Amino acid sequence: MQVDREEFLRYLGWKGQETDDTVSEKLDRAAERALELSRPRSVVRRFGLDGMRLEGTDFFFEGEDIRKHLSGCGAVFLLAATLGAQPERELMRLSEKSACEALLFDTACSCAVECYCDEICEDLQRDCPTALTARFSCGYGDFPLGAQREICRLLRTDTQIGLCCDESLLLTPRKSVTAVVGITARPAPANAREGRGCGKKSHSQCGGCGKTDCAFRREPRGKESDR
Amino acid sequence: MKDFRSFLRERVVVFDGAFGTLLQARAARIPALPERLNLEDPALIAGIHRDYAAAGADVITANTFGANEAKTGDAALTEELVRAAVRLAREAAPGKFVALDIGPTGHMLEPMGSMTFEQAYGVFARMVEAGKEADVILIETMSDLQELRAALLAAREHSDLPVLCSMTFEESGRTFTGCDPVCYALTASPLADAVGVNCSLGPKALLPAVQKILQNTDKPVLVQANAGLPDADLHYSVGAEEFAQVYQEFLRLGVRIVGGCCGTTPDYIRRLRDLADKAKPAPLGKDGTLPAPPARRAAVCSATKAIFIDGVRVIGERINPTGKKAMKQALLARDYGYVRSQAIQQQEAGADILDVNAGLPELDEKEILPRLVREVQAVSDLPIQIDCGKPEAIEAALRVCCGKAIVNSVNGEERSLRSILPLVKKYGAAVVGLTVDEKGVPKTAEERVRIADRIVQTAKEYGIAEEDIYIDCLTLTVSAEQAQAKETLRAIRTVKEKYRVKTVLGVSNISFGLPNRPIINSAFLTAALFAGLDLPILNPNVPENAQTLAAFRALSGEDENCAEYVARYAQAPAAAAEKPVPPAKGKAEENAGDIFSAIRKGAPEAEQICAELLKEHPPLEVIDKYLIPALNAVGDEYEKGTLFLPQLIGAAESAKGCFARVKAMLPAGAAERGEIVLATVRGDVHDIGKNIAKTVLENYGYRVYDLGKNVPPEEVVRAVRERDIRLCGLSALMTTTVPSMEETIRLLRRECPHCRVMVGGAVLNPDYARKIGADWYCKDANADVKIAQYLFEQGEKVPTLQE
Repeated sequence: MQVDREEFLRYLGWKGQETDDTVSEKLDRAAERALELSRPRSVVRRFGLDGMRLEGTDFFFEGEDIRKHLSGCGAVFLLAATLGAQPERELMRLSEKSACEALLFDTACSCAVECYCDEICEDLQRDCPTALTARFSCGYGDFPLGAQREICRLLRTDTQIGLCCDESLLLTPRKSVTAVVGITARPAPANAREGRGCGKKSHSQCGGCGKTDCAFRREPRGKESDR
Repeated sequence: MKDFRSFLRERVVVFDGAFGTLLQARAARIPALPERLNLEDPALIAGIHRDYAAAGADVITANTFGANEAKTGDAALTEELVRAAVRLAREAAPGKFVALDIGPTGHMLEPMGSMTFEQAYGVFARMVEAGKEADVILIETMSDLQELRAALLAAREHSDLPVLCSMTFEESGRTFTGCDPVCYALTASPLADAVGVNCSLGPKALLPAVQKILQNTDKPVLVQANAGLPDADLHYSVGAEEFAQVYQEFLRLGVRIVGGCCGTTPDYIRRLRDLADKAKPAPLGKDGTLPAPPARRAAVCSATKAIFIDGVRVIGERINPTGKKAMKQALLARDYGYVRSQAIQQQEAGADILDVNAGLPELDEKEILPRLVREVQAVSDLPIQIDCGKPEAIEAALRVCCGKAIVNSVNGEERSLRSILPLVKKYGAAVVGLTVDEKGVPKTAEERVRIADRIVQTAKEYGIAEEDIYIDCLTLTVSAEQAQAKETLRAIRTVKEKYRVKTVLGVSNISFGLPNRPIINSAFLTAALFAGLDLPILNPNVPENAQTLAAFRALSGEDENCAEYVARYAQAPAAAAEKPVPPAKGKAEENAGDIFSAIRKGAPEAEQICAELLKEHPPLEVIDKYLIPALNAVGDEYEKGTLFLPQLIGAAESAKGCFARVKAMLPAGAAERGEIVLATVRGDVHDIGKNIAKTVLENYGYRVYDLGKNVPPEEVVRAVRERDIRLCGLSALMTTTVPSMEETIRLLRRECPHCRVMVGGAVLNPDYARKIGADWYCKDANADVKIAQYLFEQGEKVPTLQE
């Protein structure tokens, strides 16, 4: 698990502004601290798909987007991952000390948990003979946020990794992810590192997302290199 | 039916094994709520119970683990499922004990999550009520000590059944939320009949946690381990024989209740039965405590940090309005941000325990004291000292205080002892005993020791150990009663010789009325420490206090090889010196240029440059001509996209030090440009955006009342109404919490029609903000400033969404 500098800057809304050493050092410190305090934990379970229902359960995937995403998949992995309670506590402390440090630490943790999920998906792909889809999380497109509670329940995340989903369907600790990864019938890609997540390693995925007003949407590559 | 407590007294008790594991193997389809099977397939459930009963379990755990209403979503359903489960277990296993099984709510409690302590308590209380027909209550697989406390108190206060509790630990030796086995044992033992561990890892990996618990509890210890870790097909790694071998070791160490968790089967329980039959433990005491408990050590704790009082431990005194103007103002304004920052500062300065006090005639301590405890525990892992003499307020604070606290205080008066000591006992706290009684402060050491004796003896009647009593021999003012300083020291010495108690003392009162007080304070503190003072109550931020303590620890040998002392003072100048100020440049324009660039860079030097400017310019001019223009320039650059967010906030923070300097030269409130209330709405715990807005607004000179996160609409309205606030900022991050924002706005409109509302948060946009009735949508922190400038200072008009 690491904090990718480019991702870190993108999450902070960086658009090529000039940065000095003061900012750089602050970014480094935040990233180090995020990695130091994280205790990444995850739980993954494989379910067969019966239409859009998870086999052996009464859980259905709702929404056009997830249906499209899982088309041609006979099974899925449900995934939940968290950085644990320590970063959460540190964030509360930093919020009191310095909004800037808190923002940087919060953002570094977001990068870290995404990176952690990338790694989990890479591991899953390595052990899977057929190609996996990118991970898809509740609340994206029309995949309802309400599914988050069901995923937590099915994976028993509260007792397995200390991850809770509350009344407002928020995950606590906050630096956590739940997601669905489809298992397709297509052969696995030669390079398992490509095409995962919604971050740096998946330019095409990000561009394909329907949320065109997303503040973090990656701009077309050409424009970036013009700067 | 036999009584579980007497059954436990003379033998090793065997619980059953995993329920889910057998269910998985036997059920065709498991509903999302597995407890539904109690109604839908009772024969299946009864079959599992019968198999464990046949394997020799003394206690059958009813299928109620996840049946609480936070998980079922329905109180009536919970009641039905719990009743059915207990009945099923009773019928399937006649002659066995039936345990009501209580697992976690699946929600995170405050401060990390949004569920309040009282909500969790209510969920557990209703479950306990529904499970009254059971013989024993088992609270298990907990990872949050505060949630466990809620369950324990609910069980204690809603039934007379024996209550066993169990947490689950990771390889790191802590629970998922960071709770340590020592803190767990110290906190839970007074509230439970037995404490222990379950689930987690295989039995061997649990040994260290079990040993730590055994060393810190006087109650029987239980272990229900997993059969190791599962593979992808849910096969567990530890077989029954290996499992039983480790349990032999557990029994040898003194564990008295055994059973199995995930992956175990009747085969495992059969082997535990054999072990239990061979064991002949010494009987428990009448009160259910161990026949030979470990030597008691004086200790207090939070959920994550235990402080053993086997050397000098500092109690930070800053969170107390008495004689502290800023704290008084903050408490009256309900500005808990100031309280939190004081907690952090004291911890960083070396405090081991934090005192909290809300003793102002204007405040209802019963309401404010627990709030202070929660605020402090949100940002600090130090144990708490509850500083109050009113039993109701003390109990309210003890309820929400996570860990083992100190109650400060009782005195020698009968009324004080009889009303407060029962609370100390119930919650398992430590207690400060003041050597004063209805006749006032005694003049001699002997009389003070006599009062100490009365406190110790009365506490003993309630079952409070000497190690949990901290005697305060009282500091009197040396300029007024000179002979008393020596009496105090003599009393400390005698008390320490006669009892196993610890001593506590507020130090700074000694120098009241004298010039240069730190000189006297240091000398008295040194003398008191050598007389046997364990817990000085002081301001750890005062360098002289820190120096005295470091020196004492070196001299007393507590600081081995003087390592701490050397590390701390090798590089430091002998006397505390002012921070060096860079030479003045003299020319105002140069300083102006410097302060612009220092603020733009977010550099800490800005404060020094500001100090220089203040030598040549009146304070308000520094604000208007230098600080605000610098911030405006940064804001404009941010808007144009030449600076990005961390740079904007960094600039605001470096301006903060400047404002502090300027404000120090002005009468209170003179630099304030307007008052604003900020809150993250109920149900939402994402407060980073709100905190950024706060920082930026404050550094423009606005007074911000930050109500925090997960704030109910009524609390927002109250804060706005009390201070006749004209601008309120609300934040929500999730689509699911925007309705809560809408509700808050609606209530504000009704109750406080003069207050304007600005909103921000990731899922909002101008359209959405207009729909929920906000006046302004803020796309970033800079937008907040523009609105405030418009509203309070006739700045450029910012049209409202409703216009």
